[in-house]
Amino acid sequence: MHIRTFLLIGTTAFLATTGCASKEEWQTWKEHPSHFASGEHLTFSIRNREGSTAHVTRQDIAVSRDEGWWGKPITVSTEQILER
Amino acid sequence: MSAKPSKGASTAPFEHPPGSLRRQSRRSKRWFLGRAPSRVAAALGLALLLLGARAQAEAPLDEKILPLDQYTTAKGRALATKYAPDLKTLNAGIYHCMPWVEVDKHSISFQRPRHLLPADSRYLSLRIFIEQDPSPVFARLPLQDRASAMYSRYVGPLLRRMTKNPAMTADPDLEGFTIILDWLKQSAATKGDRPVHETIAVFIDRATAADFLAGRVTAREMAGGVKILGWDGDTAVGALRVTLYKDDFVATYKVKNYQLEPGVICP
Repeated sequence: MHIRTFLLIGTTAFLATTGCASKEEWQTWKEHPSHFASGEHLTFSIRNREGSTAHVTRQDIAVSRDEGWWGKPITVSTEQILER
Repeated sequence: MSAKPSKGASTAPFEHPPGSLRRQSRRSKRWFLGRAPSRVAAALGLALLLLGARAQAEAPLDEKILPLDQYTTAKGRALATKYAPDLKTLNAGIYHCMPWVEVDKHSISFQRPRHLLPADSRYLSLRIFIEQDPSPVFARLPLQDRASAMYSRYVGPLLRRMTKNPAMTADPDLEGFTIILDWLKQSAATKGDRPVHETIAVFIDRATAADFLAGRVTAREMAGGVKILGWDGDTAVGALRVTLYKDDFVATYKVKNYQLEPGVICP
């Protein structure tokens, strides 16, 4: 009983938190998972939305960045510039 | 809650444990004590899961501000405590209103510039990574000119965002502002390679910032008086001088189809 209840809760919560984007939106973002990493991010993602009803939310951008990131860049660390 | 099986009782799955029938008969009387807790637990579980998911989505935004326990002096910690709401406002403003830039973890703080050590000169510090379309014209520019373009585009608007609270800007414990700009070095972005960032760090003392904000000095004059250091990847290229361009990109650029979250207003 308890296991089934919590499975139901878990499934409901999962759907509630991931089911916000439309099918169209997810298709667009899934097809181009690395467009932020390519450096063509903004124009590219915007072009894919021409004539569509989908909107780009801040969360979409954050997720896309996380998924498509190239890896750790070679860059100066903040510790080399600033002291805490 | 459930009764322990009596000695020798079957413990096979799905078989009702001894005493269950008796418990079942009492369920109507024990609704509040027996059934309700499981329903309450279920409701609480759902609420916690949803709250957890929301917190997970919001957590990265909080992580962008340097935590209090990371400061090495009382002065830094005091500033971060006193102006915590301003740091949050700055963080949220950039997150929602400049979605093409990224603020990394612990990139908003009151840290002290290394070149001013050992003095405990606390500057409000912000580091952003700027994402932009590749441009052959931009890539062909010398680093100094790329730095000039980035400075022209971002330093003024970011400084204005960082100085919205006059009380903080006038606080004698706050000695200035550091703005660190990162962008992808396009020539190094070949497939399979690690990306290389170019970086400039702009250090603006409080008096110079105040003069600029009050219109007593122009942006060009301010640029001539501030310290700017540059890096190519992790290699320091030293001090840079910038040439200022007129650039209203930050004020005018809108991400097409970008939908602000409810309640968020961008000036």
